[in-house]
Amino acid sequence: MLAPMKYAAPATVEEARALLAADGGARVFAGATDLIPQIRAGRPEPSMMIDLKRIDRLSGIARAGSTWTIGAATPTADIVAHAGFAAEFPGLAEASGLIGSDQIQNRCTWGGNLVNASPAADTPPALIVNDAKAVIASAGGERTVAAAEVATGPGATCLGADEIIVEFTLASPPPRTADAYLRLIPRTEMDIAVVGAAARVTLAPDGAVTAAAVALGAVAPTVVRVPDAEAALIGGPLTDDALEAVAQAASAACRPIDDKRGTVAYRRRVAGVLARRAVAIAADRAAADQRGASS
Amino acid sequence: MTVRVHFSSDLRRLTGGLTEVEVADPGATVKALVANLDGRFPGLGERLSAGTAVMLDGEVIAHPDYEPVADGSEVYFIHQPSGG
Amino acid sequence: MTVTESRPESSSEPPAARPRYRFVGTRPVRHDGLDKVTGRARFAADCDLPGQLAGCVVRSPHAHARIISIDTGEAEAMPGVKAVISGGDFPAVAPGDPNYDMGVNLMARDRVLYEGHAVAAVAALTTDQARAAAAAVRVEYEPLPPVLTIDAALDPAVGAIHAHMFTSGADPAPTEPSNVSQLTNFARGDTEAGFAAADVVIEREFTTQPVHQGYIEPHAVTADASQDGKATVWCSSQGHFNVRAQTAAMLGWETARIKVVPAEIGGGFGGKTTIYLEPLAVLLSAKAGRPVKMVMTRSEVFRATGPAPGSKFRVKLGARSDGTLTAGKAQMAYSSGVFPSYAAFLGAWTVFESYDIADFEVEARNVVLNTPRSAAYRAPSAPMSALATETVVDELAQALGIDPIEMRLRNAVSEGAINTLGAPFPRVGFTECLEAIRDHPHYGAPLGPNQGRGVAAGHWFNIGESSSATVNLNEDGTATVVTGSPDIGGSRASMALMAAEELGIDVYDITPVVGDTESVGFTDITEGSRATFATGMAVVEACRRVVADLRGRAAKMMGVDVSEVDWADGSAVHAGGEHDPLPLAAITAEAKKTGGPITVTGSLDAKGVGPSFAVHLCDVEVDPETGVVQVVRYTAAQDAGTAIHPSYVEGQIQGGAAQGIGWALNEEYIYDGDGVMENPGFLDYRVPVASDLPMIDAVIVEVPNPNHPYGVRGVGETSIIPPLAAVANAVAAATGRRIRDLPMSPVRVLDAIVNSGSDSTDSSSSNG
Repeated sequence: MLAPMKYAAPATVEEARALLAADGGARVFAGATDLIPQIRAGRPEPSMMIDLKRIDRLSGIARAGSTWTIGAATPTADIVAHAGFAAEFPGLAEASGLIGSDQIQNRCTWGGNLVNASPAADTPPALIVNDAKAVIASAGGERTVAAAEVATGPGATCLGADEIIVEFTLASPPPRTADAYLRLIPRTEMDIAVVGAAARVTLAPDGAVTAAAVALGAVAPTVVRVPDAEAALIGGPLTDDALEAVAQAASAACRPIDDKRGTVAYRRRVAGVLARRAVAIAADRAAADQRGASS
Repeated sequence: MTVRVHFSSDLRRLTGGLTEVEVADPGATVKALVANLDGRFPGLGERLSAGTAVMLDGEVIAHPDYEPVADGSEVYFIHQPSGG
Repeated sequence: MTVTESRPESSSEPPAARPRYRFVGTRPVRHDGLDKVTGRARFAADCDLPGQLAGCVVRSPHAHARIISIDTGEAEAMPGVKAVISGGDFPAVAPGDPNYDMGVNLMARDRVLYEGHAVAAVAALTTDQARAAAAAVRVEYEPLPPVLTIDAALDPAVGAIHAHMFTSGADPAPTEPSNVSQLTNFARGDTEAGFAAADVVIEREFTTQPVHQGYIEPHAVTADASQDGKATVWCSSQGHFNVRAQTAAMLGWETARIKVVPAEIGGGFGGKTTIYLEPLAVLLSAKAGRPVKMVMTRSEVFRATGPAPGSKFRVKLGARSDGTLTAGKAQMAYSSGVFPSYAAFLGAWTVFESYDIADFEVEARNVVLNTPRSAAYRAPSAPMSALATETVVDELAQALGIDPIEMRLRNAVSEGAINTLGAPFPRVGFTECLEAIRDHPHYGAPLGPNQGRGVAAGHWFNIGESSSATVNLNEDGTATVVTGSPDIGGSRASMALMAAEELGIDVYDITPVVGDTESVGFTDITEGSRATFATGMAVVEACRRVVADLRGRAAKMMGVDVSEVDWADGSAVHAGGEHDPLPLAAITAEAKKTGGPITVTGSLDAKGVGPSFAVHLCDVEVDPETGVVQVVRYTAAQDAGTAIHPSYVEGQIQGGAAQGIGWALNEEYIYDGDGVMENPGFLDYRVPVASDLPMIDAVIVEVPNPNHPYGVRGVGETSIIPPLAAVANAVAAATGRRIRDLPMSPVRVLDAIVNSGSDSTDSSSSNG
């Protein structure tokens, strides 16, 4: 007889960590929107499923001063619906609202999306251009890691065996700053990115770009930052030439593969297109951002 | 009594290239007509018996063996179609 | 419950001569509708019996391999395992036997022939135990090289998969086996002369990949074999009499030993016209002495049930400058998976069937591959052949500067035109469908940037076959109509409407049911768009005999001769007016005194099937930088003959269009180099989701079939034929690029946009 899979729903982070540390075959989950399909596809069943949704600290959206704190197990539907958050991070809200379907978004989370470490995940590029930090509960207390550092390869993360992402922190963006996220899928929803592109842009009052971040998904083992695109933007106005330089830099930065969802040539070309479009959308939003005008 | 018989063109290799023949004294039914045709074109009877339909007097008939033929009938041997 | 709806404005008005019906043509809520929307309806996997076991199939990981040995010992010893079977448990089948293909497909014997091929099955107390035991069945394989593409199958240097398969239809008969199972040739006139008479000749190549029907409900069965050597089978299918016959044949049983009870069906589209699990479940049940339930996973559905064939064509058409088509030539190949099929024959029949072309030659080959055995899929083979013809006709119209509808009107077949098989068309509504699209506001509506519009037509012959219907009048004047046709598209509502029209009682006073194999007369599969046509005829025949009986009973009650009694509006009416009319309920109330229960069965093999035509109009918007195609507007006109229940005719039109759009844009089987399917799930096998499609405007054209009591033609299949070409023509209009290899995925469309000159391998010539 196979040992039946056990289920636990701890109320605190420490209980969850203790369960995880005690059983090498245990897995934590929140929405389980990746875990269950993986088990159905034939991956070994965990010996224990540790449900994180009962832990108060892991769910919720809060702003204290200029810092946003988002519980790692917060359903992305709640993030999309949070008007205050979505106003400051429209691109990150977009990425959160693109995962799967409405039903999936009622369950899935940033924490799961990041630690599942799929190269094609939607929220990591948007988290990374916003310099999000992951707060990780460890044996020795807590440590904070940049979202960009969490995934180290397909399905691999920097987390130790008994570590859990507890929450994410994000600094409120400066005035005249906005982000955007675009992805390419063959359908209109219920799909996985063939290419994803996130951008964040800060504009000076004269329209010059003072800060920029561009990150690509699904074109390399982990999210790719595009420093050449950022360099091409900073210091000048958002001209067609600058946008073309973004596209070229993005195409050059990807290290895609041929697979059933797309070819190297396609991903390279479309990465440039989406990066350029995402930067343009972010810049339009930044230019329309009224928070700078009132302060 | 005479009937005119039309063959689908994929049957031509069994009919010496003909797609149309007149049959005098064809018998009373399609089955008898097929026997008559087999005498003239050996092997055609077996082919026609294996799932061939007819169009007779403007109607497709999938299982025509006992359909009566009359003087002046136009008999089109087609195919027993299937579908999804 | 009464629901009355007016026809949408887009539906064409019925011809003035159309008879006035009281029920036919109205839109009552379907009798099975409430159970469906509340989740109460019982589908195949909802059947549970006390003590039942869970069955699980062991499947091949190889596309082609010799089976060295199967060791079930470990599996049999595992906890909860009650039975294990493999090929040796079934009656032997020899190459050439009529049952060989199906028998080997159900359970591999000496070789596995595709990835996912069943090699053994187990039954255990729980699903987990069954899966664990299936994983413990040890199969030793010797891998063999798989044949995976049409080109490879056509290559004489590639070894034949089946040593006993010689190309049928070839002249002279071949002496060597090959992977070409069948050759079909149709020809008429002098093709060379026909092309010489053309002012423009265009020749193009096309390829399509296998696509799955994509029904939501996976195959599922519960079987209960009893000690007296009989078995009851609960399953969903398109024909439970066929399930009974095939299951009996596979087991070597007499038909009477098997009873098949039809469950509600969650989609079939042709894919449930054959069997996969039923004999396995019966055998496991017989061996274990308990009921056995088996439910396929989605992956099993993709890897082991029949997709539609892939295809590769070269099609050439010539036209005079006035648009008249002068000649056609088609070289076609269809891949039917690992066993032969009629796919190539149907493709050869349909490729030029819509147009009156004096001279043509068609040569079609059916090839076998180490991929799952193909099954019927809605108008089998015609969507691919229409892709080719309708694209080339579109290019000819473009080259000649003729409107694409006008081009088709000039060549459309009509009554008396000789079809590909050499027989004259009966009355058909192709011209009416073309006119309906031409006159639709959509046809002249402005297009936005990066948008294009495409039109395409399709034809399906439809079929008749055998049907039975029993009409039982109840004591209170209500009625039960029992048929043997599984209801895959609203046919029960249509049966009730026709019965209501005949009997003159309300449609909701009629309960339409699908009877099991022991409760109703033999009925063929629900396929070929035949249920409303042929089973409807059986219902009408039964009702007319019921009415004759009712008139006799009424005559007895009135004390007059039956010749004086008519039937009108649900009542027996005395012609002389000396007796009050007797409503149906008054007659059934007295049935015991006038001869007993009133019940009649109508059975027939339906003649006079009516071919159906459709014309589709599609607008797409193409992102020129990403190649993403969005269908932004879609209108589909189809000749239904008579729409018995217009909502379900519209549903069939919309459903076929949606499936065809998926086929055009994203759906395909993807195999790795070893023949292992890479996308056996709905994530990477992309059927359209709701947000991918606009509302599909269904325009019902009604040119009644003179050979059906209500003029029905059958509507289920034609709607999937035009979309492939309609979308391709729209993409061409939007981008200036012709994409002739499906699917038109973003990768392929962007490649066509970026790398121009993709037409270089095709020829287009002008004789003038």
